[in-house]
Amino acid sequence: MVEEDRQTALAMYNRLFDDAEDEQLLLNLLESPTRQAVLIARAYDPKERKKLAESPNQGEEHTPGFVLAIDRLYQQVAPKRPAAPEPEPLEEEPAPAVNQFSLFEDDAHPIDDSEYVPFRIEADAVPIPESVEELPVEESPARPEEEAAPAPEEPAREESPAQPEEEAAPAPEELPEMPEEEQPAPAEPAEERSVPAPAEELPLTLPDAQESAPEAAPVPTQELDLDYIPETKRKAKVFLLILYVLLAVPVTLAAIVLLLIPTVLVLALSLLVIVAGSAVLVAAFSGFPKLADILIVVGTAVIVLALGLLLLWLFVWFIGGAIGGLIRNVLELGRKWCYEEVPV
Amino acid sequence: MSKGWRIIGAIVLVLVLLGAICIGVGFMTGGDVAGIYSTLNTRYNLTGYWEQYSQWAITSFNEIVKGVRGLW
Repeated sequence: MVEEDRQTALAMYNRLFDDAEDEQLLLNLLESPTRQAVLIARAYDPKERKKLAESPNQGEEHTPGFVLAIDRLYQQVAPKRPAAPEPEPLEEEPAPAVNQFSLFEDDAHPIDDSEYVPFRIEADAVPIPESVEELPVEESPARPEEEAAPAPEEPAREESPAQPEEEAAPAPEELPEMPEEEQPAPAEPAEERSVPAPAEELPLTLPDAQESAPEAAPVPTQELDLDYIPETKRKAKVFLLILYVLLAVPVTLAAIVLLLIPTVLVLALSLLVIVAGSAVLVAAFSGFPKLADILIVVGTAVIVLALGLLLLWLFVWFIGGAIGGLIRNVLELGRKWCYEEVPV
Repeated sequence: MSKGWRIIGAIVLVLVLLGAICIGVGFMTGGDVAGIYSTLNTRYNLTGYWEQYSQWAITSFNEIVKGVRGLW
């Protein structure tokens, strides 16, 4: 399993525990770490992941199977649920809460597409159960996923544990026939509705969940985002590298020797000029009777010293700029020609 | 390296300007090149050094020419 996917799965499990209303129910659903490991392993498709890594644009249209598997658990136990598509307008059905938190809506947490390739999880991929008491504890919701191919959404939707509740949940038209205290959704006020679902599917009520989280807490959606920029490493083209070394080393050495000749000459000349300038400067204060003569000699000495300084700097430039630059450029050219970036 | 060139160039320019000003002021205040040479020659024997170096250069040149002819 790719490290990024492992981190994503861990982050989703962490959020599952953070957002779970009933932790005991969550533990019952999870059953055991081994079972979850098997679940993830079966839902994970390395070939699909490799294909996604090679062409990151596909990640916008496809959600990995393991993400769907964990999300199904989240749908069952989390109090804050993603918003379903806009329900059909009904007279008896109150409008969904305005501050309804949506984990996967783009409007709630805008994602910078230039950096991330987000997985868009369909909000209605799994029907949402009506209440936590009606969730099947024995049978995990991902069992159909284990038997089916990774990430087929239709079988999972058909065999989802929410399906029996869909049958058990009466349609809004049937509700008036029920006793008053058993009517779940239409009797509840809009503030207590946590999940807006299509009216023909589920009239959902989760008052406890809404009370525990009256305002949508910001959940970092980047935990679900996978960065598909592949890691690369430098790989040497061995034959080309050997050829380059065989050619570059003697050519570079010859060029360095050629550059050393003017370098040494410039050094000698600069030292000679500096010594001469110093001698003239000393002579200026040793025996000239007139101030005008002293000024002329001092001026000459200063100009000669300036020339010596310029020659000395030229020597430094030969060493650090010319010879050093030659070596750096040869190495850079070798890196450019003889190495290539390959994905890890 | 370019910053070094700028710094060294500025220093050299200042020194050259300073030297030029000194020479100009010296000439304007009655400086004499012949008197300077005479003083230096008296003190440092410049003519003697010049003759020695000239003799050494001529001798070296003749030796080099003789060596090259010997090769042919």
